[in-house]
Amino acid sequence: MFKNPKRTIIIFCLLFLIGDRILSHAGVYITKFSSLPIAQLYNKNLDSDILIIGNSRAYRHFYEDDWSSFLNLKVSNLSLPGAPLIHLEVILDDYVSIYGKPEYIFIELDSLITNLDILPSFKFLMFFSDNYSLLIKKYFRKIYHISNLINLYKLNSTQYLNVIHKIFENYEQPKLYSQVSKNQLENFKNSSNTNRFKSKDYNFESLERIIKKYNGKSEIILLISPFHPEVINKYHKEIDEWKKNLNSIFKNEFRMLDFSDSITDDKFFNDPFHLNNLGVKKLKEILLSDRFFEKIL
Amino acid sequence: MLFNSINFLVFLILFLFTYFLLKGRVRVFFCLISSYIFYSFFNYKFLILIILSTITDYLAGLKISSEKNNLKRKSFLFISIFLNLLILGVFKYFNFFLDSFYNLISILNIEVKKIYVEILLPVGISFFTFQSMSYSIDIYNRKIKVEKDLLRFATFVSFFPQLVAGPIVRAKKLLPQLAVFQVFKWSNLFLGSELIIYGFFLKLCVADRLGVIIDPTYSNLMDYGGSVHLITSILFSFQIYSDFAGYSLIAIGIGRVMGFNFGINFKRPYMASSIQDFWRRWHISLSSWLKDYLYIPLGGNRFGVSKKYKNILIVMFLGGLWHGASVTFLLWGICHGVLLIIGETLKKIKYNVPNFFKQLTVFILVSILWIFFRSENLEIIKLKFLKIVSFENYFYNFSYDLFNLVIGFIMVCIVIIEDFIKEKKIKFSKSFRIFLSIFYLWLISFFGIFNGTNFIYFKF
Repeated sequence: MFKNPKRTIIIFCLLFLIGDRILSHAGVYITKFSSLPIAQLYNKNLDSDILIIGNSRAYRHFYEDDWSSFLNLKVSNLSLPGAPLIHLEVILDDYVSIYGKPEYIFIELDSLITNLDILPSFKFLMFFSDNYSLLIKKYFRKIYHISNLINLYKLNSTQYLNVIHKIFENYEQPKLYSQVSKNQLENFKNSSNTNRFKSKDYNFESLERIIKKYNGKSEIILLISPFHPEVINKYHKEIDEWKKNLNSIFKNEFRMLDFSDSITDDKFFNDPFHLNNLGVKKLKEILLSDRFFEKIL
Repeated sequence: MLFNSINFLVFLILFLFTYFLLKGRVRVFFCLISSYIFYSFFNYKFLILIILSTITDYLAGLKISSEKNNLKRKSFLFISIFLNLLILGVFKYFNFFLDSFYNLISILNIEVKKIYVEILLPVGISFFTFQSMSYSIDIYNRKIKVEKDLLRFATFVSFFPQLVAGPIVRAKKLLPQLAVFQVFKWSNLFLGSELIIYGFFLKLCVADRLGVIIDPTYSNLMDYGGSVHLITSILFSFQIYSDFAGYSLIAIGIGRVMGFNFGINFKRPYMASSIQDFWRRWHISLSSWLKDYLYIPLGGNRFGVSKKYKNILIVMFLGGLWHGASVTFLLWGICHGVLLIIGETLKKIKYNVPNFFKQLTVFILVSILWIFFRSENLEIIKLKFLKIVSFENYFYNFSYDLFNLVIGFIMVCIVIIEDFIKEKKIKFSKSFRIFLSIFYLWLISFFGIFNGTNFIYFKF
């Protein structure tokens, strides 16, 4: 081994890199068998009439199956917990480039507030999406370069493991069954009072781009799903300001469905920001009675 | 600057290139400055402590070696030990002693206003003070020659690969190596890299992965059933082993690439067949330090059985205290002391038990005691044990983090296989060892956790 060390080092690097490419591509190949929507999207199994995008609130509040059955249209919820709108824009663009434009695009507006922290945990998408790679290159340069050097690193994330998990178990949109406790609400009331309701510039620009690209070809519906009354109480000024700002820009052109204060009872909430299963059913009733949905129905 | 950071990787590559370009005292000076820069990334203010410890022991060493009068030699040794222990006492144990003092006077029904001082713990303080202090003691015992070159001595105290979490390399071993010009050798590069890669595997794939599963069970004890607490208690044995042995291997590997031999710090501790054997394999540099500088000076086993047992208890008590200023560490140390004494007693009884059962017993006992080590206070220890032994809702929240549990389990199996192979002294060909290193690099790329988690032993 030490007689020809330079050759040994070259062989070492080559073997590592060849193995890295083979293993990572095998890792990408098996995503074909996953039932997770994000994997289905890139493996061309997700053609839909209605797309829902947003962060965890949209992910938890809108059940694809329910919507599909009451609207009699194919609905896909491509929301990702913790995802900022700039990330969801990439998902939307990729969807459109694979399947064409959907009839309706629902955007839950809380994703305007979400920061970029979650982005790197989807780095396996670099194998599928140039748009996503560009996003990583822009905001997480180090991760971008390391991932391109060592491809297995792209698969090193819980989100990829989630994809793998859904090969062995059929995907079902997870439902929340707990009820928010008094203690949780008390803690929330006493937690620091930093302004949560401030749209991030990059998300806002992203929303403007989405509208520019898809308005007219698809119907875009901006939506705010319910918050617990404690959230409204605590941040009422900030929320009013946030909505006023959104309204002043978009209201005349778009339908903005604001359900932020439509549910008030504790029994419908899992935590201050998320409805539980009961709450989701309640929201469905409220949505069905909305004029806009009457039109689709 | 953590070993598991990109910054350190860049630092190390630049350091090694420059190191091999330099010669003579310039190289030693470069090592010293690099070590100080490395330490400054943690907290540059604490550099003053390293410099203080260095100057004290350097001067004490000179005085002890030149002085003929035994009383004066002793007093210089005392100054050296006192100053090192003072640094440790102030920065590591001050609030603990203050708290103990308040507890004592509250027993005596005296009321005082409790005041605590917020003191930051300097990284690696227990390591560099022990390393530096052993030098003065060895000079006093005439085991080594005095180091007159301050530059070399300062480098010995602050040598960056093993500065913040050991291994504690004695002056006798390191100073002569610093005096020699270490030429670049491909064999050192290969062997060192092999150790570094396996060290990173232990840290990033095993320790940090297990940390993700274990940490929540300690911070939210009531959210998990007994089965979860039982499994995570066993897994913690592997977390702490992988974390600390991982760091040691990276340190030893870097040293090896530079041409140094730091010795070994871990020798497959969970293959031990007795508690005595465990301590011969776990954190060897500290165990041997405590043996040579505490156990033997206290009398060791020279003055009868009861004195020997007393010495074991004192050493293990102080060994526990070395880890941290907390009752939990003291309890952990004392319990190990008691187990060592029981082990000594059982030695006299002849019994025929297969080695595997001995190893398993030692592992179970050590794992139980790790609960003391990991818990922040006595209440957590109590609750943890109650949860493990009470069968009510035993499997509650069992699958809270199934992904990481499965991956962690696979990683632990790899560690056990690796240790088993080494224990059986099975030798692999060089090409297979290269392949193994590549395999570990793949595992690191795919399963490693790169969120810059601190090494557990940094807080000691």
